[in-house]
Amino acid sequence: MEEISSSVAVPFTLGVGNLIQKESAVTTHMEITGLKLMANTAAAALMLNPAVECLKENQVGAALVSEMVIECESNWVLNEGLNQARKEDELMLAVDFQCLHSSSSQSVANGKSDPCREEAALWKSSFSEIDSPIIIKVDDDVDGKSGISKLCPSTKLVEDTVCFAMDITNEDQSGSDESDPRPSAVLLDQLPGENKTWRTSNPNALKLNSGPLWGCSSICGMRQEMEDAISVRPQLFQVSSQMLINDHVNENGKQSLAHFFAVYDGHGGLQVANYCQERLHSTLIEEIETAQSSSAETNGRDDWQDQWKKAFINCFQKMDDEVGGIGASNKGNNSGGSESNIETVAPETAGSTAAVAILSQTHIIVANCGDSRTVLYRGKEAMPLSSDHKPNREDERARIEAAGGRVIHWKGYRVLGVLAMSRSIGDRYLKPWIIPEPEVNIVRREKNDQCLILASDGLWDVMTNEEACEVAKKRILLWHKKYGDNGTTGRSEGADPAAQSAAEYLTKLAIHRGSQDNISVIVIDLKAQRKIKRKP
Amino acid sequence: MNGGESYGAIETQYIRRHHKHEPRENQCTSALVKHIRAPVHLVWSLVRRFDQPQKYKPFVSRCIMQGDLGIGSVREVNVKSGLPATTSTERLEQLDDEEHILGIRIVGGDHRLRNYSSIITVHPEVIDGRPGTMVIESFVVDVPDGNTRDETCYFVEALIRCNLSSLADVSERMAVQGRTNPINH
Repeated sequence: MEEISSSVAVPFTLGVGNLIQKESAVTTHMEITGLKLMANTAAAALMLNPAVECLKENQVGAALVSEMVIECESNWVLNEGLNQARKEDELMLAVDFQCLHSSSSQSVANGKSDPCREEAALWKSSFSEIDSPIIIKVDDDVDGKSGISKLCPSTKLVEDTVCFAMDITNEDQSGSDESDPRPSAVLLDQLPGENKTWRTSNPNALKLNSGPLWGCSSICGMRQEMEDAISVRPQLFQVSSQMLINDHVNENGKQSLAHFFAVYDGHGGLQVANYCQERLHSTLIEEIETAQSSSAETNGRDDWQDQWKKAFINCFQKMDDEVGGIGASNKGNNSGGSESNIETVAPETAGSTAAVAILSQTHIIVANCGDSRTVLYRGKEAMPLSSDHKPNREDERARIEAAGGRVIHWKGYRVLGVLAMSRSIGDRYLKPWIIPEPEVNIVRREKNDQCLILASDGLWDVMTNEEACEVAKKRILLWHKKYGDNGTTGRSEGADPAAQSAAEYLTKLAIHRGSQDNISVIVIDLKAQRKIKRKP
Repeated sequence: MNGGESYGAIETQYIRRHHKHEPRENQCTSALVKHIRAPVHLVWSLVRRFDQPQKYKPFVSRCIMQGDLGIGSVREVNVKSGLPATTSTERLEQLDDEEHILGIRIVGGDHRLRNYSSIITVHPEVIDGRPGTMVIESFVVDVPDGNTRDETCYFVEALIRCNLSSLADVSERMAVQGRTNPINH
């Protein structure tokens, strides 16, 4: 018991340590977070009394735990007090839960543990073994109002943890603002006057129609250092129809917004993951524009899927070159007497995975390098959209050995016995055996797509694809069941609170499962209808 | 030597003289050579810092000395992520500032390297008419259960090769800085 308690306590302590250097940034982001969440909960009246607020949150938390137990053990009994409209909504949710429960029962029949009971057990365990600040953290998740915790002095630890996640979000958003103008301008210039006018006059409508429902969470976990990075760029660029279908007859094809999501899991230092977080998306835009120009020149003979693969391969290679100091650095000696050696972006022993997903109206395009992973929950099936680059994957081992390297089992299969993945961006010292080439997968979206999850191996090492997908969906539905009616008045351009609660829950669950690594998770709710049903 | 590498005459002399290991049946041993375009005193100043291996070893994130500096002192090394280890406990066996010899034994850690002992020597040489340094590092270590002698040598050599490559980068950069300093005076 002591060990469990200790392991649970440690990550948050380390997290706080990591944030000390960002004190001013944290303060700023707390304010931003507060404002955003207030906007999201316009109908909610803010309690001015901190003590009352704390008490209320505790009660909500306790209620949640009790309700989870009831939901897992009973047959989804509905409260009698609900009005007719809410009863209908609850009934639909109950049907979904019933299906989930049946699925879980099937798991039990197959000798697996019941995820519902396991979650309930985890929550119970949390209450008895984790001290007060962490429990209030749970309350924050329930309320979806992490800014409220500012009113409770005793929850400093919680504030830092929550704001750290939001810190990533806000950085990405400002970056998105910087990135948008160029692709829009380029594409608008290519449009005929009529379409240009339409697009210019309806930017907000476009965003409202296309905003993704995303949430993310990134925590240090059991490692001493945080080397993961997440990048979320909604509405990053517009993609022409020629890049999504083999349609070259209609030159004035419709444009659609595309959203960018990425998880970078660094090792040997955080430099490569941070560099990818800052640069990969804009380099990708350049490569996509190059591919589209090339397509125009060859009169559209190139297959559109090959264009995506080429764009991603070129993008990742460029990132790999840049972190290694190739191209970006001046190699000539400076006769003026200053240092002739330009510092590289990263030491040669630093590297990173890159799990990237592009979400458009019609397709999901995934590129993967390393052992982070992207999984799509389609209907009731967890579909991995990427395949982990592990050294003992047959084709990877063959490639490495053909290049004169070796795969040695040294605490797991490793390239030269050293690195546990077979592809990465960076890791100059292990070339030519470690390559930055991504595997690209393109799938058409379907009506029964539930959600998309991108995560580092800190999650996947302790959770199956199926478990992660079911938990994410369940948490999204749970949020809507509790807060969907009265919480949100409009679409937020930041994180979606339901998807956010799912992402945060997954990281906490991974900690409970004993994950030994940084954990980074992005959850994208692909069911836009859920929000529509909730509107009065 | 089961490292399979061939050495020049000078290297062979140095290895015979300074890098004698007597491996037991379940052990493997090897030696690596690195030529560095930097003077001996500079390279040695990095190699001899038993208390600060992170100055040139890229896999070290932190080093804590237990007790004082001297023969027999022990350091606790924290290893960067991505490698099959998090810590290594190492003892200083030999430090000769005249002959430029450093000897280390690994006495603990989670890297699966048992009874590991290494010797590093640095020797002056001339490269392209400028003072340079030949660095030789040799080791002996148990072959762990589940691995072959070949695999074990391959793994350790990969790590040493990376350390020596970094040592070259750091010391050559320092040498360049040193060469440009007189101009500023």
